[in-house]
Amino acid sequence: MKRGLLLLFVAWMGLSTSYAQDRVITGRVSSSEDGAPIPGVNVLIKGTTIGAVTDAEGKYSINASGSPTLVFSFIGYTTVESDAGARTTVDVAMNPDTQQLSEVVVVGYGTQLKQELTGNIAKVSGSDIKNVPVPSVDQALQGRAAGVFVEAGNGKLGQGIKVRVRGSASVSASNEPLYVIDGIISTTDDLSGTDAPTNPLAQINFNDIESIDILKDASAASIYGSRAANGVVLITTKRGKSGKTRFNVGFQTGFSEPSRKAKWLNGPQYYEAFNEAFENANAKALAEDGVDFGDYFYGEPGLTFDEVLDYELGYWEKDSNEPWSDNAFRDDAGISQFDFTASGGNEKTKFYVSMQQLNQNGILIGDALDRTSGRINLDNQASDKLSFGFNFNLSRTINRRLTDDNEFTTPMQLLALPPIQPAHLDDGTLNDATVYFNGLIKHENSSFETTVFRNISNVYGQLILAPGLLFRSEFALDILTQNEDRWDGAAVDSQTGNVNGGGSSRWVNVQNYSTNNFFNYKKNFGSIHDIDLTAGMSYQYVLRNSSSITAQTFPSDAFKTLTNASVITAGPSNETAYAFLSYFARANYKLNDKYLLSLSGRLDGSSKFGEDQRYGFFPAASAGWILSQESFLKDNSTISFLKLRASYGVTGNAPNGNFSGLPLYSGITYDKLGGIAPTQLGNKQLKWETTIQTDIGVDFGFLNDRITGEIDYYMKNTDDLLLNSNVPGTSGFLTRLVNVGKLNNKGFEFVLNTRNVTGDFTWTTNFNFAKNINKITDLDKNVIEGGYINRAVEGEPIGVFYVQEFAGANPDNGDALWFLNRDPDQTEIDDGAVFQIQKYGDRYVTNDYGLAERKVVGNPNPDFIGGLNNTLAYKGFDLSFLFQFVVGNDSYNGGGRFERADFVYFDNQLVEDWENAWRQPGDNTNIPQARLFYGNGDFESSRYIQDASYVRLKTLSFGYTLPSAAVSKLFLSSVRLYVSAQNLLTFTKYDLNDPEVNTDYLSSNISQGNDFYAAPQAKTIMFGINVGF
Amino acid sequence: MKLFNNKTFIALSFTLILVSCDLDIKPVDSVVPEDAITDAASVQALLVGGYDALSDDDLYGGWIQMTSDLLGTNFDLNWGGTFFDPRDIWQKVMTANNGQAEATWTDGYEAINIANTVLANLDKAGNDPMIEGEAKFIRGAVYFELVRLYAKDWADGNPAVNLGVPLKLEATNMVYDPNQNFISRNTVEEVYDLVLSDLETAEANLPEENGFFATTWAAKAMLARVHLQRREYDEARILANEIIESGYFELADRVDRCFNLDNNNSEDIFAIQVTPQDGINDLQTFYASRSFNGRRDIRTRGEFRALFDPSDERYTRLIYEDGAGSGRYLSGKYKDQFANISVIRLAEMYLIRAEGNLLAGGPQVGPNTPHDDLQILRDRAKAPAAAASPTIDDIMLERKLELAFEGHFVHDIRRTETTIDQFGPISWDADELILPVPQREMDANPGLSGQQNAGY
Repeated sequence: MKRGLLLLFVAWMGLSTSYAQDRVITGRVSSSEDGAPIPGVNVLIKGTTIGAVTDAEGKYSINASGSPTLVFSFIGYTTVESDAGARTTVDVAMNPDTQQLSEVVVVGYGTQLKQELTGNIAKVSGSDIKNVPVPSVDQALQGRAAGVFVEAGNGKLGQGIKVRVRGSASVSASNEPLYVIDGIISTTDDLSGTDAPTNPLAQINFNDIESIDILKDASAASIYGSRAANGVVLITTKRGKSGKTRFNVGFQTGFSEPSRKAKWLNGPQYYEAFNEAFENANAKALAEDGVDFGDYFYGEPGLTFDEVLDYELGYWEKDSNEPWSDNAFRDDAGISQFDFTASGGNEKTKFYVSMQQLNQNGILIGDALDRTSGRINLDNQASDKLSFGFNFNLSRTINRRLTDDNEFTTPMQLLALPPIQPAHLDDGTLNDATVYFNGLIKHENSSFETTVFRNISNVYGQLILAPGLLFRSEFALDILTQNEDRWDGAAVDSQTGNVNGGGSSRWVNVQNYSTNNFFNYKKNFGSIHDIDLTAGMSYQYVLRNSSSITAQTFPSDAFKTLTNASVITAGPSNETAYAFLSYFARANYKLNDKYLLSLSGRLDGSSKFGEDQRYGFFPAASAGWILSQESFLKDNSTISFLKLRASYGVTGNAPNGNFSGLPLYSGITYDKLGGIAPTQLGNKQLKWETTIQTDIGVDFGFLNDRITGEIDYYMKNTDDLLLNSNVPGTSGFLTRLVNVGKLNNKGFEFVLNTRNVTGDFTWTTNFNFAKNINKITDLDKNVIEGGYINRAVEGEPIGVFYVQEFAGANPDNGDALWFLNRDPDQTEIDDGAVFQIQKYGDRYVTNDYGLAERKVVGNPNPDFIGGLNNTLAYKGFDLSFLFQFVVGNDSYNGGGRFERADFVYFDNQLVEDWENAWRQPGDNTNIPQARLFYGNGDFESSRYIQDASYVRLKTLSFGYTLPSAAVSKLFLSSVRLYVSAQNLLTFTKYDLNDPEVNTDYLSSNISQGNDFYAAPQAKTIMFGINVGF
Repeated sequence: MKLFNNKTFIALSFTLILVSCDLDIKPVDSVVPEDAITDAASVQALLVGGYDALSDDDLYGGWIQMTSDLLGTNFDLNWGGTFFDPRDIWQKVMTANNGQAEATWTDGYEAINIANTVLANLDKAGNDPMIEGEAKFIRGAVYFELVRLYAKDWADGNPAVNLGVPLKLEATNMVYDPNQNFISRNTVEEVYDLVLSDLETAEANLPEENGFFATTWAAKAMLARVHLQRREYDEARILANEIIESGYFELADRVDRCFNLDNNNSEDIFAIQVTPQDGINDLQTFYASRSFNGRRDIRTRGEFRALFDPSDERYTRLIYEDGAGSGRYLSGKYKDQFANISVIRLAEMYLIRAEGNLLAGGPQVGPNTPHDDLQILRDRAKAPAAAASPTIDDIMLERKLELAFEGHFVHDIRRTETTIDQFGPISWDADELILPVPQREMDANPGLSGQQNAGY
């Protein structure tokens, strides 16, 4: 930095004798970090529209007269104003700007300077998430924005990701934010034909993204009205800049493996452990019924353990040692990705073109995702009043998918198989006599391919009607066509129910059309009043068509297309649609560059709402005070920026279904005869859920913005929750959708950005932290259950675990115990059903599960989340690493009743459960005695709940940019080599696979934190090169 | 270049904005009631919906039968496999949260509501007595199954006091009214009265032939079961006799030819229709071996198999080993995944007539003695001769040999006041043999407060 300033001073001094006149000013703009040229910098003569852009060598040339002030601006660098005086050469060094205060933030239907925002918007730049090896942008956001909680439920590629902005604001309707891509409310629905959700965001190449702005509070989000209660994620793709065409080619490749693996018994351990369980059960049968194990369970006295294995297991070998849990993973997991971009233009036309080919193999066998994507973004200034442009994006994604977590055929369920059963028989064929289905047979005899064609395109026209007044019109379409093609061979018939193989082909087409038309007026009055008004309308129509065919009975496995199937078992087709019509307006007022006020409102009507409630109004108001512009702070050397802001407003959350308020009859078939049955109770008052949010925040900057940050406190109160309220089953229905119920989210967010070291060596840190407390306050006395033991209930956060409370093993006899959690009857105490043991003092326990009362014993919502990102650079080397943490969340192991079940049946069990099981009186342990067939504590209980907090080294990237001198000899402008890693380290106490978990077949708002044979996240290490020319 | 006059353009823009776009979008996959039930054909379609509801896997599609057999097994079967709810039913350790108990209850009332809706719309079908009869057959049958699974047996204590199930006899208003649905449990006697009334109306209104839908014979057969459960042996034998002597039904010529059929045969009095496109045969799901795509979760026990004479074809043809050498022996009644489920077949009528004649006293009803009726079944099964003077134990044994795994175990236990020894001893009137009122009902319906079954 010192050298840059010196350069500037000398230049100014040396040239101060030049005289002012019409001339061409030239110069070179470089980075203060390393002197490298910065191409694409906007150079503007202040107070005019005369501008230029630096070329590949950082040089510019601009016409000037008099004593102009040149303004140099470029995203990522602090804007520099240089008083040219009479000089003809002005060279400038720019400092990287990591605190973003002077940045432009995208808001709904426009943009605003961050320092003038009165709402809360988190910004993530595209360069932060570039090349992260995950399929979809939502997953790449993990840990990067305060208050935005991102969780991938398991390690399968392309699946739905959970995103929560400031907590869950709904119980039965969606909790996912609205995704707006270049102004289009895009299709993000789960369109999967199985229970496991697919993710339309995985069809978007996020290297095309310039910035992501997440609207979190009411002031920012209300402009999106009845769909904004969960926050709005605005995605803006890159646009061309005028100047020489710049090309960029990138290639990266790497390998993946499971980030963590639990430890299961091997062959010898398995035999020994189950033999012990057999002996224990035998002793119990003799003691209680006077007969031995074989007699009690089979009516065959004298049965040996090996004979029991013969009955139950199928084909096994005592010295077999099959590593079943490893068989789920493929050793060619990895990624290879090729990117090409070209961007350039002149004053009239600018373009950005990109192409990407991504091939990723997940860590599980048979899991893969390939994506080919192309984009053209074009802008044209047709005249000085009319500009127009278009974005065109086309992609094809092929996702090779797996069966859901709860199917016997899914790879992760292989871990349940006994290691004494080999995967292959002596003749090399797969062992099909395993105690549960051998999922490798499915892997070799089936395919499941989901192909998605996506076209997101829009065209806009913008006309300047008068000074400061413009009119913009946008038309967009987002067309998604998804095909799920499944084939299962005859070897899998027992699992599919097919006879001699079968398959299905399902097509879904979503046509999403929208138009936005609005005016914008900006004016400054009397130099101290600035107003920015926006008003307009928006209409969106979405039509969804699907059809599928399911058939079976092929002549042989050689025939896989359904044209050869002889029995068609289903062939439905469906159609549904919805529309939204909205009118919106916003007024931003700034007084004296320090007092800010913003008002907005949106009138939203939708076909989804009940006929008595068609339209809703969503207003918001916010104010801000830039204290650092006040005279008492203006020249303060410590405080460089200080702004107080507060906002209050209303947003809504629309129902998921398109016709949820109507009473409905549906067609049914009974043996080829058509029939009808009532399927839905109606509700004319059905409307959106209403969230009123208050946000109070402080934006600060110290020491010349060397330290910047934000602190926010917010309260979101949601009313009119859409609930499938339980109705008595005697009515013939189970539920009815009504608006009743309230919940709230309160929380606190803290963001801190620091430039720790500057100069040749730079080090910046970004830290974000958020705490959210969710509580359901009114569910109309309903209790809504989900998952295994999750529930939504008044007085608790959504998704709490409600179950019997486990009390470990009885030290005297190894029985599983549960806490009674209620007052016992005297008779229960007298006959010993309920008793006290020493280690629990005066709490009552029982070994009869049916006597124990359930209570809330865990919460899958985290206490706090956040991320810590560090970026270091020195002479062409760059290192950045992001730690992401989620703390205080619990997880429930739905598979615990099988895989941590005291050896009740033949599923493989965790090594630590075998080691720590109760074995003799006096043992003080949480693992009850192993008892084959009797079951000893393998019921749903807090036994299977554990803390799933974790800290991950999420993304690590280390790169070297070759010196520009060396590179320009090859006619290239930049070359960067790098190695990067995703999920490199995970710190957690979780003793199954991965603490970031929610099993795919069950995931819902209420069913959270459940682990049922879920695959761990992948750890990926990649090498890459990026060449610019 | 000035492309547009500012004023015209502003006008154009406003027009664009004020164009009201369409928000009236109608559903096409499902339709609103006014469009759904309009005339006789649609009421008939709703009736088909009622049969479809009856065929649900949680009703006659399998779980009514399996629940009874899992509860009443007396060393007849074992349950394996991973589903907890059936395992808890089998071991008699159910809690009020038992998912299977909940499913049978709620699906039962779904069928009842469709029947009620048909009855409420009879006027649109010209008050056709046959439609009334079919709706009441469905309703009566479901209430019968519910009251004998979720309440104390008719002969256990005082049925005028014992709680049965709630009687819902009007169609649920689709514009929902909570008060219409906060109903309490009626007594066992009230439920049985309704069952008898509905089935007798069905018996009177239904024709002798009605494709695979309910006939007067199906109503009579269901009534025979009701009377048998109430130990009204005279009424039971009279009805069974009418069906046998009607000539409409004939025993299949071999024991295994009554099962695994795509269409009803001569022996079927009422059967649930299953096709590859529609319907589930859940009995097949749980009884069949893997080679037939079943889960083989229900296995026969050695004690059960030992009851058969080795020549009895009900043993040689209807029990098979699940893969040679496995040691698992499964019932062969349910092998074909898309086969119909025979709810009531003629063989059962012979057994009811025999039991009725043995226990009712007075003059014999029909041409056959109990020995003759048992012998007919034994002849078909190519088993040794029946006892010359059968006792009730002989008849109960014959019922087990003939009707095993068709949903009779617990009801026979109750009627004969037998004690169950498997997981036992469990008395015929034990609380554990009665399904709980589902917890979700206790939570959603204040009318049920304090009305949960004992032991839950």
